[in-house]
Amino acid sequence: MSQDIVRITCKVHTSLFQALLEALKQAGVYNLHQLSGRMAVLTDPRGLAVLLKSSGLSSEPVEVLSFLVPVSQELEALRLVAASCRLMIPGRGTVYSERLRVLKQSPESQLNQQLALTPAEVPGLQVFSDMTAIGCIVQRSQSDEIVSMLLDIGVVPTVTYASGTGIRDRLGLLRITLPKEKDLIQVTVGPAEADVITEKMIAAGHLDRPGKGFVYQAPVSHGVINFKTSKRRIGHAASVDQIIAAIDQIQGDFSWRQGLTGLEQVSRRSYMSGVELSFYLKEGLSETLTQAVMALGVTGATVISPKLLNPAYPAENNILPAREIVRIMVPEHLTENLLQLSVELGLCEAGQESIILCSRVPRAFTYQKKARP
Amino acid sequence: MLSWPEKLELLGPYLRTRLMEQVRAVAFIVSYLVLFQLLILRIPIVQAGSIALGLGLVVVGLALFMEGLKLGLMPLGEQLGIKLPGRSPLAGILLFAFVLGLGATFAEPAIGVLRIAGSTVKAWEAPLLYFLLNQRADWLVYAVGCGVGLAVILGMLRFLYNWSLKPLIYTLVPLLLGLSFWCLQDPGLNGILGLAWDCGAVTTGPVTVPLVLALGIGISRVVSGHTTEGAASGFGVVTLASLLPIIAVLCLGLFLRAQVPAPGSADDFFSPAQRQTHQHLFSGEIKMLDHALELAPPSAWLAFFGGDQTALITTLQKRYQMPEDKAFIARQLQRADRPLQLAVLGSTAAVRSLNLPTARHKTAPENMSQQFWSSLLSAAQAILPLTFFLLVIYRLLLRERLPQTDEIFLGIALALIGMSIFQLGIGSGLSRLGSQMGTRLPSAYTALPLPEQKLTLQNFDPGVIQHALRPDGSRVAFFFSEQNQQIQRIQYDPAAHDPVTGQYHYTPSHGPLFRLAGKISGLAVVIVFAFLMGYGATLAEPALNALGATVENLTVGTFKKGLLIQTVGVGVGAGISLGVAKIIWNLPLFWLLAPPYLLLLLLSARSSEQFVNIAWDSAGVTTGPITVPLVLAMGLGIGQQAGVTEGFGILAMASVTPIISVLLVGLYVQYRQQKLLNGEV
Repeated sequence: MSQDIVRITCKVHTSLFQALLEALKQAGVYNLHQLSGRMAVLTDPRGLAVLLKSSGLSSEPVEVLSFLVPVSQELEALRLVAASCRLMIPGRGTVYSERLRVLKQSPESQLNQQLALTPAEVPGLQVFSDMTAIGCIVQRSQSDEIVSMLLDIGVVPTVTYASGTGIRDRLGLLRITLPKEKDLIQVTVGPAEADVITEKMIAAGHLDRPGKGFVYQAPVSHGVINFKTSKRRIGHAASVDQIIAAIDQIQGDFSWRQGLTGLEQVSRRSYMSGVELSFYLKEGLSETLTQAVMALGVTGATVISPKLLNPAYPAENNILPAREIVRIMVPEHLTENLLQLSVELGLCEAGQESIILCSRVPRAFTYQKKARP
Repeated sequence: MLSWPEKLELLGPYLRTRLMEQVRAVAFIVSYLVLFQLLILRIPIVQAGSIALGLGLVVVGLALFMEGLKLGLMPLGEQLGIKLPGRSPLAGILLFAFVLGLGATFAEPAIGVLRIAGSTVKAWEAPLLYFLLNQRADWLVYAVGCGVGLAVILGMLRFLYNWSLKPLIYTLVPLLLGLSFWCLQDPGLNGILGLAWDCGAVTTGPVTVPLVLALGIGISRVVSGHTTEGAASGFGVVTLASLLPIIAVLCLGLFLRAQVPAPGSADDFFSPAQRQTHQHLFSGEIKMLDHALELAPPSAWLAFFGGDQTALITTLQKRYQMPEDKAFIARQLQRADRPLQLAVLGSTAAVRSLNLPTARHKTAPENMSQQFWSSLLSAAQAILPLTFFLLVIYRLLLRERLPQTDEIFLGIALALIGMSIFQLGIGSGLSRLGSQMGTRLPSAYTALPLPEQKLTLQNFDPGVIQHALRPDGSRVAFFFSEQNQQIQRIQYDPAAHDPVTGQYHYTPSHGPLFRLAGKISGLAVVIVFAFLMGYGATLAEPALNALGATVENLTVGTFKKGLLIQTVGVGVGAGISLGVAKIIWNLPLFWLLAPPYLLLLLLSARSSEQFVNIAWDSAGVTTGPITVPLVLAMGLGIGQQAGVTEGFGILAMASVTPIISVLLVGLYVQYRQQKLLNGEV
């Protein structure tokens, strides 16, 4: 029953949220997952800010919205989001699309079928293709090193909250010493620079040490990307990020940027690859699932708690807005076992409104205990 | 399984970060109080050892309590909030809300604090206030409880139907100001204004606030639809719980107004003709007499007996003979004139010994374990009934299995232990330091006697007495004395000299320390001190820390906990300064409160829903277990010097100013965001 589908992820400034929601409602989108996050920007500390913070890092609130559309409407949906939030102006937000496979869904669960989209061309909008999303999970409030490194090399990270399970669940009550709260840092970059940036994130976050975090890549098919890295005052006619954005636009992709980031430095690490399964579940089921998959030998899972919005849903339905998304990265051959497990746990029974999606993870990295010779 | 060294390796950093967080939180206020007392007031710290121990306990207790909130109370509240709307009809939710609010008020010990602030209230000057604090104290607690209960109901309705907080503020604040203005016009009612406004400030404590916040966050997660406030869901109850009790107390005052006499002079109040109508203010005629003896001038004592001097004297004599009353009567007699003293005591020697400065009041050595049990009891009273109520609702009514049960119960236990250790520490450390400071603070601008440094000069020779001329030709007697290699000039008081034993009893005084431009420089020091103390105490408040962490969580780090706490700290500091100014110059509270609240209406209209929620809620949590004892000690210390009837009003001032500071910061943030979005930066 697997079916290809596109997941659109929008990360827009909170004050644009209402306008976006209205536009999506007009288009007939429902089953929209919403999560709050922050977008980092460099600033000049001045005034009171000088006393209060030492770094030049500040954050803007963003809302992260994601919804599923048929493959045929991928670009129209992207353009709709970009136009309604005027994402041509740097600093307002990012939107991108990923191709996923639907592995399983509850019988009543509805996917957006045909949206009322007008495929209008948006003037000044640059849609990039074939990019890579990099996600990185670190301990809560230990994301600043990675975030400022990313801003320095010209990409804008967004940070959302997640909770992680892993060794802590085998510790009994002592687990409270390892907080489950995590930061999830996400960036969307060109394919040529993805490996270098992944490498730099590993270095900045010391992810090659035990318990520090996890980084993975995911293919992105299209995206409108925000490059505004700085609110600092500009001494020139254009800021560096404006110049970079302009060249990106002329070139049509980011391949010219590889010289800036130093491709030659890629080290020889032992990366992992596999698939990421995303379980969209009702609130409270994540604990059941993660405990069961740990028993299967999976080392860890990430849980995100978004709110389900149904702006265009015709009638009041009985699904509670509190949702949980469990993301588990496994080697591809374990997919069937996990699906089997989800059937045993009854995750996709009627009334749960669950969906299980699958995407490719070409490259991932975390600290691994060296096997004894 | 992990080995013990591995377990310790996990526990070590965990404990260290949590303890250090609290050390940082209390560092400012502690070092500030110590340095101010040593360097500026130049008074040694009494009982330094036990104070240091107490401060250590505060740090450990706070760390445990905060962790308990995070592991136990807040997840419990949030889970309940998630499950409640789907399982219970609206009426059930509202009933639950009311009981929760009522219960939280009974659990928080803050109302007792207000009775301390009102301990010097004179029944004839503010009869209604006296009545409320003494004979009708239960009613006062019920009124506040109903106010809080109603606030939680309104808050729940707000979460369920996505109401904005602004219209509620626009309705309640003008209503409140109007009611207060009306009470201000009525001499019988204006005495309770300070009490009513302070009730609003103290209702929301370190247990209620995190619970109610978490509950609101849980409900907001399952309520369908979306709100413009986005990240501020779960807030607002604290604001309502600060405003509605004020209205409730004012209404109770209106209701009881007919039962009490109008304020008048002490002589009229205690006269037999009036007494029958006033007696219900006291629990008996004896209590009424005690109140007259303790606070009224001796002329009113006579009035109590209808001008019958002999009746007064025999009554006093009779009570002086009773062992349990002797010390009390002796203390009060010191204020009487000499003929009355002589008539009661019978001999000049007895009168002389009465007038001698009393020996240093020795406090009984406090039993540490007894203190611990009493703080454990009060912590249990604040935490257990509420959590038990929530657990019962969760298990029996909602029939849900609690996730992570072991973690939640561990959290509740940590909160309980933490709170009792913390209260023990406050009692023996922080509030002792604060009250030493508060009573000595007026020495910045006025001479303050130091009875605990009382000296007795042996073999006093009246020959050393000298005289100095005043401009009007009158003489003042003084003599020189040498202590610690310093020659001091001491004003001679014949009453302190006992020619029979040759002893001269001398109570040194301290200050005024700052004489520049009259009293002004000393008063300025006091006001700056009040500001910094309010700021420092706020940094350590547990409820504000919990609120700050919640704000940081909900805004995913865009509004940092540190920024919120600093902003609120500055606001509280400013409010406490204003409150101290109110006491020193006896300014009318209403005219200090009305302009800030009107300004707030304006600022709220300009601000985004999110900042309105955060700002108004921060105001409610500022006055907690650390600020209140310090502020009250200072307020009463200054109030005694200034001769003010009651120390109310400081807390109310400290609740309004942080709203202003947070809203101003919010407006600045909004302005910067707009510039970013328009591509202007």
